[in-house]
Amino acid sequence: MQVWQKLKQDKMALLSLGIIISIVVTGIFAPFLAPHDPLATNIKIKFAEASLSYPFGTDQLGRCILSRLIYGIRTTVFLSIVTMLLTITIGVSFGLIAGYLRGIVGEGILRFCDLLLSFPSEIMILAIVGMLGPGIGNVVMANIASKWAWYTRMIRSLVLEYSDENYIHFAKVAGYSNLYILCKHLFPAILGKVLVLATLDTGWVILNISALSFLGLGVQAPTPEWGMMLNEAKNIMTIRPSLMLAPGLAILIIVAACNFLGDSLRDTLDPKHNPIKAGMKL
Amino acid sequence: MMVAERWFMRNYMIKRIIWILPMLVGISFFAFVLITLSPSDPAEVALRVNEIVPTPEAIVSMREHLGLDKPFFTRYVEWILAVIQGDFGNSYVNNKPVFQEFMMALPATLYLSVVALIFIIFVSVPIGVLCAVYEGSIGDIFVRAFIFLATAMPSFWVGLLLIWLFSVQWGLVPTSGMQASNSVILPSFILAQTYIATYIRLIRNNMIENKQKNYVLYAKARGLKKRIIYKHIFRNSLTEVLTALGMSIPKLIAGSVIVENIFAWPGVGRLCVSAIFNRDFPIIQAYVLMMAVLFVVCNLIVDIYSALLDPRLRQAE
Amino acid sequence: MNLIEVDNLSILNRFTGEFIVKNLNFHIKKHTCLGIVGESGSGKSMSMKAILGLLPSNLETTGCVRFGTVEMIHAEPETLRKIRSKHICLILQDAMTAFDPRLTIGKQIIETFCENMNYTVCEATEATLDILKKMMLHDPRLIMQSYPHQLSGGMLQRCMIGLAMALNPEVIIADEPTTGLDSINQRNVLDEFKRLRGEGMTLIFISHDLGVVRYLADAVLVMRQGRGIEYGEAAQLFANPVHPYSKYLLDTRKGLTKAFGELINKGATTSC
Repeated sequence: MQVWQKLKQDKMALLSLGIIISIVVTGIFAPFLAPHDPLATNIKIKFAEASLSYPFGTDQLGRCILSRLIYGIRTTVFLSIVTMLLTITIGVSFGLIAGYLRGIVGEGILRFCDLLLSFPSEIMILAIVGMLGPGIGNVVMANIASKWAWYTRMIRSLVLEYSDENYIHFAKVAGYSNLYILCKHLFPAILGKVLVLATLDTGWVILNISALSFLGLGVQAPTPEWGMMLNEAKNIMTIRPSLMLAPGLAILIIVAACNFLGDSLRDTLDPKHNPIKAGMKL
Repeated sequence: MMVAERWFMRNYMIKRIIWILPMLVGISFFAFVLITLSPSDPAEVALRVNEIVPTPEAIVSMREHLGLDKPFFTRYVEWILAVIQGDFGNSYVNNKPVFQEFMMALPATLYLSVVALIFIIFVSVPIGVLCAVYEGSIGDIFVRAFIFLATAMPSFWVGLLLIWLFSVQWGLVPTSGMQASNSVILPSFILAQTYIATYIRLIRNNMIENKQKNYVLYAKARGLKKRIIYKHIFRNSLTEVLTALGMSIPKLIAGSVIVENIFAWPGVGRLCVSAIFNRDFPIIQAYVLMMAVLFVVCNLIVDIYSALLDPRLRQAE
Repeated sequence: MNLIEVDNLSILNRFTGEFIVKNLNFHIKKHTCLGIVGESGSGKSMSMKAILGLLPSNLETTGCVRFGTVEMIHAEPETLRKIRSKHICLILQDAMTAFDPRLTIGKQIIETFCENMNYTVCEATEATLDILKKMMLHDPRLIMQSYPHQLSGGMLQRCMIGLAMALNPEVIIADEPTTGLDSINQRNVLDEFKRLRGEGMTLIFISHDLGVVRYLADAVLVMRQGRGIEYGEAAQLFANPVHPYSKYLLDTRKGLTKAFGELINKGATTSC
């Protein structure tokens, strides 16, 4: 695809993609890469300095920080990705229906989304977590519930924009079924834009999930999670402030990588993409 | 404003205000329905929180006490009527009126938000303008890199680091609570931090976009001084900034949840989070409703003053 | 005596290395009108902006442009600004977006008077009303209180012309002032320029409309793809164009006029 060609020229975007992929792979192979069990406590070696066997030292319960960071990828990053995928799936499905079918069904979906969107997303998340109670599943559901309406609207307007294209009219006239047109023509066309939105939002979801875990509303101890690790670090700030560094940096790195990749994707897919501007940027 | 415009503005305002009513009904309905989503029985929760054993008889009597045995719409209507009069019910935890708890906590949050707003305006506007004026300079590049990082940093992490630096290490400000006069500085700055980055970018991009416009070219062609041209550019960028600022006020109030948690600030955010832990549904419900209403009202105000500010919007419809 | 001398003016895009304008040469004598013609994209507006120092920073200007004793290409920005404010007035192409959308026209014109001519607000207001009246705009007071989007393109164009005239410069450069106007407004605008010329103003008139240029110009420069194709006296050029491109332009125009004439005649004979 020519998108890939253009993207390859952007060194920083490739770097971001590389970072994200390596983090994801590390998370997948966590049991092989982590030096210790993230849940294994050993009070005798609490607050240990960085050493060969404990590269980042240990926390207040003697658990290996590096291992907790690595396993934390599974919680923080994977859960965010799952959240994003579900949000997009729901948003795209409803958006395609609302945009393509219009009429009562389309209008109904649209009005419902408007209503949901009048709720600010932070409030929506708190409301849902409030009702369902703390817990990581509830946090994921809350995040999905707060964002799917936005995606539905966005997809719907993209569909409206694209379904006016001539080749769609032609397909309709030629007698192809609605479902076929939806899947074969409209979906690939909007996929690019959806990808950009999704990448940009992944960072936001990661921040949200770790924030809720930080408050104690998400992951429950002792599951390793970056936000939760910061919560624990907060309590022993006066004794061992260095514990605050690693989880925060981890969040920063992956969110920055997602944001950067999203920005680059958007610049690449934008028809107003200006090679001169790109030249000036580098 | 000319007569025709005044008439149009009045119609626009009336239309917008009328449209708010179904929105408010929808929001209140949603807030009410929210509780029914909960997998736990509010009566059981209320009992458990008060450390009463939830025997079947106790649950039944608690349900009666809370009015949960009445049909759905009756409860909704009763609730709405009560809410309009300011009665949000009582907290499950300490049985005090929710409204009272809320009103006690609200000033603290408002105080925090106002100071944060001041930070936002006085930090982001000068920096944003300077970045636009000196576009491409080292300072501009540095600020843009900083903004990029700032939007990726979790605010609670920044908060912790700053507390450690300013409070624990240097002892300049207290670590928590609202007592000292300077205790508001750190929390409000951290609350403002994400918005500062966003606003610097907004102002800078807006002004740079305006710099390319035709009226700037003509102003230069007329030989107007740079200072005056920038005044024009700034004034044009202002609408979008003010609109965004207006919407940020409710966001600041809602977003204070994390900051209040870190600093043990006695505001509505902290109230809500502890209510979530305690499963104190009336408080959660009141928080959701009040915040949503606040958002909708702010949205309305922002729409109206945007129309007032931009002469073109007055004729839009 | 040449008021403006342009020698080997070139505009280079720093990043792509392509020349937008190459080796342009022309002179303008005082009290004459130079018409610059060419298709869209031939570099007409760009050259004028280059002379006045109004190009964006990614474009580099080389060559020599002399306005009186001042060398324009390498002059200080402040010098150029002063020249733009009082000595050479540029009237832009797109009148609808030329003014700040947030301020009334009156305020913007008054501001220009106060800044460039050091008028007081009262004097500037009087001057503004004066030029609006001269431009035959109905109800000058109403126009002064109007925002740009409330006025038509023709009215805004006339405001720009009036403003340029009132500043009493040595040269007025009008960049496609009649493009986008309906024919009645076009006529009004052209009459204004004719009057200016009659009063002795030095004019540079850019247009892709040959008929308009013929109506006003003493000398003509034909441009194509950033290069000066032909340059000479108007009467001479229109009668006997030398370069094939100039011939092509004139022939096309003649063809259009002829076709239009035939259509009108056919309509006249068949409609009654």
